[in-house]
Amino acid sequence: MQTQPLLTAHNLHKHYGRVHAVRGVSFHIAAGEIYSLLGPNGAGKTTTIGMLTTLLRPDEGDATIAGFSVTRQPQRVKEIIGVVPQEIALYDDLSARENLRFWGRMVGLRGADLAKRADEALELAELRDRAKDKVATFSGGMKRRLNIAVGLLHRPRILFLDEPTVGIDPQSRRRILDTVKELNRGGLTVLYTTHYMEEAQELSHRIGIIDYGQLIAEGTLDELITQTGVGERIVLTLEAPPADFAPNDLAQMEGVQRLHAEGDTLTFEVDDANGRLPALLLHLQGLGLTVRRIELQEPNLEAVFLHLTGRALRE
Amino acid sequence: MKLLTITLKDTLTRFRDVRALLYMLVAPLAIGLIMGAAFGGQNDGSSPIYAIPLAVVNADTGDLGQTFVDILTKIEVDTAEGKQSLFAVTPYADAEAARAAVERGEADGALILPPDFSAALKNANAPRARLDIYTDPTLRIPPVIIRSVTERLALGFQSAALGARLAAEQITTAVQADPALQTALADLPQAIAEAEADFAAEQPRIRLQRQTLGGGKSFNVLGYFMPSMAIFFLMFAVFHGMRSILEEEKKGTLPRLLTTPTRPAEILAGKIGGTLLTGLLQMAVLVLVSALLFGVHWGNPWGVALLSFATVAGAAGLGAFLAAFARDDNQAGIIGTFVALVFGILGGNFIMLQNVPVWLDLLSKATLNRWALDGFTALALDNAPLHAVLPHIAILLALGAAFFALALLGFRRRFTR
Repeated sequence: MQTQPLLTAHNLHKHYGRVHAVRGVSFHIAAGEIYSLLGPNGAGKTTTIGMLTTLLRPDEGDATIAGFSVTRQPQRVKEIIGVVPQEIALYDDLSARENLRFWGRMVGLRGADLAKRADEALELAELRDRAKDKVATFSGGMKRRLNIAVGLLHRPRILFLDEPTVGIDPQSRRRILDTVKELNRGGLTVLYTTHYMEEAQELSHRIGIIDYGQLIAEGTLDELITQTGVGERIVLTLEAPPADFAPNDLAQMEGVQRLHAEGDTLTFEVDDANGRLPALLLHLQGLGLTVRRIELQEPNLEAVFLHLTGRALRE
Repeated sequence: MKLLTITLKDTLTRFRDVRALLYMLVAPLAIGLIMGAAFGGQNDGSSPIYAIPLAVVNADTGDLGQTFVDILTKIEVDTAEGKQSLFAVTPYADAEAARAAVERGEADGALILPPDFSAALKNANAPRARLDIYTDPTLRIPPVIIRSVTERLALGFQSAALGARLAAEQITTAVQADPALQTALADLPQAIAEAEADFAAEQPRIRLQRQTLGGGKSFNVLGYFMPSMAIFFLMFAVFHGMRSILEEEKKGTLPRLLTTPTRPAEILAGKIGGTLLTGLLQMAVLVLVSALLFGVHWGNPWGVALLSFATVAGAAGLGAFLAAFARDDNQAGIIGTFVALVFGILGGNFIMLQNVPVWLDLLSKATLNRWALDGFTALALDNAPLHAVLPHIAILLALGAAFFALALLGFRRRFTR
């Protein structure tokens, strides 16, 4: 992977009225890197992408892509970026090929080059046999794939993918993730936003965690785990715990670094999951509680996010 | 050229939308035909009205009543079969019988000339004569023609009689002041009688010219209602076209367009171009289909083309203005529908505006629909030349330009974030 920064965001701020949606976000993405912005809905991911893709003007700060400023040279930036918005931004009454030809012309393609790129995009989206069908007749997954293919027509240097797997079936999601990895192997730089931790974990070279408009942590998965010091996790699901059950007392047990209780689920962050599990189970048995399900987890993004924000990502 | 690409894309998607085609093309043709049939009475809408059955009672004890009836009988209109009498006059003995003929549907109207008709015209001191007209309330066009022709004819008789009396008085004064001419005084009654006879003899020629409808041309009902419905539904289509900017904003295609190396002005111009092209094609199809299938006469082709363009441009300007300042596409849709309906009613798309109060007439002229309709009806009904509708075209274009200018301010504010 190359290390030269292709994108540099510096102290980006954006207000919507009295809401301070993005608060001084700074990061960089190296050429050939997949960088994921991970955060819950409303965290500021889409607003950050909006500023980086010239759609929104930052109230403060700036960003450069391949040396071009998004505020001062937006036209130059638009020529080298590809954008896949969260919405299915396609025309339902046009066929797949007509959509590709339209969007191709919008990014400056013409003639034989346009036809060739449209064919390539159809191939990538696995929609060659449906090229003449109206988009309105496509499934959600097919639309998502075409939505991505449109963003790649002009072979951008960096692709912005804003929650591209929202609302689709697992099979289509798998295809999209594989496509992103394949494109990256071909040298494409990707900025990927998601609120699905497993996607960010699988795809990303580096991850930025954004919450309440601020980038609260950044790095590779290992770096994030090290930075936050999160340990292994024991997730226990209890069988009908009594109403007066006070789980916080369990946080005092030896080896327990942190406890998160949600409904009938207890998540213990421990130094050694295998070593601490027997003692935990015995203690719970002593309290008259029955454990319905046991899960041991390696340190992961969910734990990092929980550690950083005190809440689960899906909240 | 990206502008053209957006224009063609918008036009293509609109003409692929079956629902849009229904209100762009099917509804105006269907409703225009229905209204033409409903308001045209016995007329088929594409041929001139003639041989309107008219029951006449001439109770006049003098000679002018019969002259009046003779003139009515001789009024002619041009038809496909050549010149035809406008009225098929049937004499009736009394008012009761004439009214009964109307009630039975044997006549579209009845005209009753009173016994003192001639006396009232010849004698300034005599009480005014009253003409009674009865018409079939279920008909629309024939009663208007009967009333209009009769009123004008009566007015002509009154003017001519007054002129004759004044001339006689002036001659009498002059002769009395000049003794040398007093010998001629004895001949004056005979001279007046001859003048009256000449006046009566001249009437058919003079009145024939005045009494033909539309300046001597046929009255084409569809020539009124087809443009009316075309304008009314054009407003909906064009408003929807401009509203599509907001729909694209909501759907995400507009933001995506804004991330491509396409300038916002090009995108806006392309959207406006799509709306204009769609509107022009809509008008072209309506004009051609109604002319070819239903024989609607639209008038001067250049006038129709330029007026169509001006109407579409004016409507697009108004649509852009509504879209630019609406909160979202839903609100733009509601406001656009309201404006289209109010403008349609005020602008005369559903009611003829010839006999409305002055204030309503003035209010009506604040609408695009009125200027467009006045222009189209002038072309279709009066066979007006192109220069006669240039003021209408200029006003529509000026209104469109003003609305566009305001819309640009709104769009600039909206898309600069």
